[in-house]
Amino acid sequence: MSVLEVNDFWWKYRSYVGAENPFTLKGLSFKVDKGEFFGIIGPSGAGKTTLCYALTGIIPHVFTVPYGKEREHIKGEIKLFGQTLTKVEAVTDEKTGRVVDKIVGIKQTAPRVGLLLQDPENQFLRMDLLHEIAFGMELLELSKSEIEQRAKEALEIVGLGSLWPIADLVHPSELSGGQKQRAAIASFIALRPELLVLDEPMSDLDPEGKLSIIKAIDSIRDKYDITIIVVEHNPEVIQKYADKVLAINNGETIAYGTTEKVYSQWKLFDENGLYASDIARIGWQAGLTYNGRVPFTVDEMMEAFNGRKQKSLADDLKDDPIDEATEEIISVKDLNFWYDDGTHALRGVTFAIKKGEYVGLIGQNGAGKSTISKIISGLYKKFQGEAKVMGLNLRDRKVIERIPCYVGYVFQNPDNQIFMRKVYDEVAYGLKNLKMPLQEVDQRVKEALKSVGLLSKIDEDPMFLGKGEKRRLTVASILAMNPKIMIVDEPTTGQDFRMSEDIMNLLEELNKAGTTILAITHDMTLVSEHTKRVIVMHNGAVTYDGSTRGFFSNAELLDKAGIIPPMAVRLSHEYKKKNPSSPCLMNAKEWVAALK
Amino acid sequence: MLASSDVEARASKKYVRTFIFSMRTGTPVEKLHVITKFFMIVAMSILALYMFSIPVSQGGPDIIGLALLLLLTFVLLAIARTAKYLANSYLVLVLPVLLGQFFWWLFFNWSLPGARMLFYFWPGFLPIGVSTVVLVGVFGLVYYKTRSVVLSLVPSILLWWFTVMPGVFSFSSLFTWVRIPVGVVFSFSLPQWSATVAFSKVLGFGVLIYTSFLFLLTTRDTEIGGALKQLRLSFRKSFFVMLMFRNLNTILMDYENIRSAQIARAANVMRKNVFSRIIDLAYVSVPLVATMIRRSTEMGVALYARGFEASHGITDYKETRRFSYVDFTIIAILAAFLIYEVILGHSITSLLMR
Repeated sequence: MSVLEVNDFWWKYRSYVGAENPFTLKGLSFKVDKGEFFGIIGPSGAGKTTLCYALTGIIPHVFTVPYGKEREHIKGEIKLFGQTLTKVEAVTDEKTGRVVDKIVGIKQTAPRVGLLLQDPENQFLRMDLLHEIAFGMELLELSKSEIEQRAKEALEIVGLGSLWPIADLVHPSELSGGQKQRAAIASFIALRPELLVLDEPMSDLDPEGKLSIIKAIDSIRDKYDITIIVVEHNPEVIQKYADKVLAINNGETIAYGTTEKVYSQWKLFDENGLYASDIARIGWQAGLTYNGRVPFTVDEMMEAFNGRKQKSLADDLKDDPIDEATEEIISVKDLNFWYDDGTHALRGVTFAIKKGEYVGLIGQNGAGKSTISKIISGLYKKFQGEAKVMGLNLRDRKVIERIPCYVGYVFQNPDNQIFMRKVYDEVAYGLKNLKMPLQEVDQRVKEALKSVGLLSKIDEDPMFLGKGEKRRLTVASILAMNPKIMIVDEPTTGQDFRMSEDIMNLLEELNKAGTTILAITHDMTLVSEHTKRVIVMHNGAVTYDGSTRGFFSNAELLDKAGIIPPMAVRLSHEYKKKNPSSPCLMNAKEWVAALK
Repeated sequence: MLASSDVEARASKKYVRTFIFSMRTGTPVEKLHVITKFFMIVAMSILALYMFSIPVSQGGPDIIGLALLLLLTFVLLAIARTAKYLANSYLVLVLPVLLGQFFWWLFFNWSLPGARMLFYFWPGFLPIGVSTVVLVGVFGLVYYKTRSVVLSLVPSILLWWFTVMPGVFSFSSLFTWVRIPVGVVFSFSLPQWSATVAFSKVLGFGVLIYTSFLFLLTTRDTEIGGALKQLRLSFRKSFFVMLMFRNLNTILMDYENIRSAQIARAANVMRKNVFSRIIDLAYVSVPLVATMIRRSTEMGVALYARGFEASHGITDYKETRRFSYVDFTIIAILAAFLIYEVILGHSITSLLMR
């Protein structure tokens, strides 16, 4: 039985100023059956969030269309639980007797349908955890005992059971990004919807957090017979859990069918900049198959090898050692930091980074990565211990004031760091703050924009740039200031494969040109592909500081740090069990080279 | 009934987030109903305003009453375990304000005919000498260091004032080179009346400021929602008040992030004058407004997804708090005090001085 039926559905957002918007969804047709785990994939700007809105009735009931222009904005039909959810029909107006177009269908889909958006902060409607979980149930006017029992159970399912006794005392600001995501999921689990739509619900989570959440979601699917629709970039999640997949780009269907069928199309992923798992990439590029299709899991790949051996890559895998004589550009010794609420965020952190290094700073949510970065960039001043940048002591107020001249910090969310209404002015902002001569400002702005490929957009309004372009603009704004060190916080979160590759390649080029890069990321594939050294943090302390390969080779270290390595590394570990002398290959590129 | 592990978990949560910062859990003030706390502020503020405004014809400001009110405020802050925090963070800001107010009322309050003078100064001339050098010198030195006219004026005028007041530093007249007659412009008197008024104003405004702090430091935003419900405000209206507080919280968080991004773009590297700083703040509004619009849109979506539009009522699940006998007692005592002072026109000072 179909829970959702989408038949040739088109949608266009209304325009409040200027020309009409183009159609965001173009003739989509697909079905979701009861109890299915349905995946939606597509590059940034493909229309995935808009589709989620349409599937839950938010389009057209929250995002409305102008009266009398219904057919210009909506075509086709969406059916939910066998009833029309959205359709434009010609009906006779009771007052005037005239035939007019009208949107017909279910107006309120809650509580039978739940929708979880990407940013949990915007869905936290109450001021404490308990009432956040209880809110939907309060609106349903459930009994107090029922609310209590469901809320407790929902928190346990998402791994926040330990917070139950104090749930009424926990303010949203006390929860980490990952905990907020879990709480948002719990608030819908408690409502026990028949259909749960999740729009990139795990973008802020570390790999282990992602896995635990997706397991929890999958478990409630069985327990309460819930149909799940998930928009997710992570191919591992979709390949492991989804029964069917819809791939869209520019609002159009580019592939639809079983997960196996969709993920077997290498060209589709390559042409549309979609994320594919390491295993699938190795399979495609090395020509390995499992049951006539590309392998999806480590076990499937092991079977697909079928006696095929790695060739020796001993020379290729040697990492260029950093010259010991190279000067230290960042050094922290016995660093401790407490937040105002008493949280001990850093516990005796010590490390040094040499000039020209490209270091990955990794660890679970709340490990202290952002805290240490903010100390190095002069944003947090009340620390204990020693912190130096280019030999300058960060305890000195005058040094802190001048830190932006040496350390560039690219924040996670580009929308929070664009201050101007013109691309040129945006890049020039930092330079003008440094009171640079206008001629030099002009030269540096143009050079920075050229290096990120945005020179053609020099006169445009940054607000209207795409997500990837905004990210590149924020890098250009820092780049123009010519910092010796660049700290990049989650450079690829929420971006599609092509955008992520672009930004990581740009950082690699900057590193080759001499800039020291410190990248904070949860994306272990990017760490394995781009960094030579990692500093691993856990619970405010450094648990590993050394070569990336050394870290990924050591299963015990990985386990201790709570890090799930990329699939290529897991494949190496599995391969090593049968071939003990084989090296740890960290990414698809190395595997393909070894297998060819 | 809570399990023992739950009791332990609650006991381990020592602080809860309030309007501003955090409060210690389990204190008597935390247990007060928000309506009681609100009544306390209103009653104590009315009392303070009334007490320092009593005209001299009716016995003058109720100094002892005001001192008792201020003492009560400090006792409540101490019971709420917020006094130390307040001392660490806000006393530094509040004390200069109160001191400034004290001197303002002391110097610029006119004297009443026949009032007793504590201090009298009537030079009728402007001395030019060491004091002038101090004024120009200190201003020049501080301006050279800070490039801020305001920052330079404050210490130079203060030091000039002390050197120019022969009544305070009698030896300064020895260093006067020229005396320019200026009539009564620089005359200064200090009647006892001014000191009384200044002191009572400081006590009164102290009560106003610290009771407000007490409310903000010991009230959780969730309590407001429950109280509005008890006051029979419709659930939609009370919910939107709560949503406003929730938004305030996210706006502050966004502002912090955006400001950090601005600092990372060298906004604080060069010394800037007041206007440039205002312009910097205006730039913050570009991403802040864009973020606010996006957030409000998504909050609308989140409300729809929870079924807010279709709902007709809401279960009261641990939203409201009952009035205790302590709440009633506090309201009764304060009401009696209000009647005694404001309606019956009595004064604690005159009662004790009788």
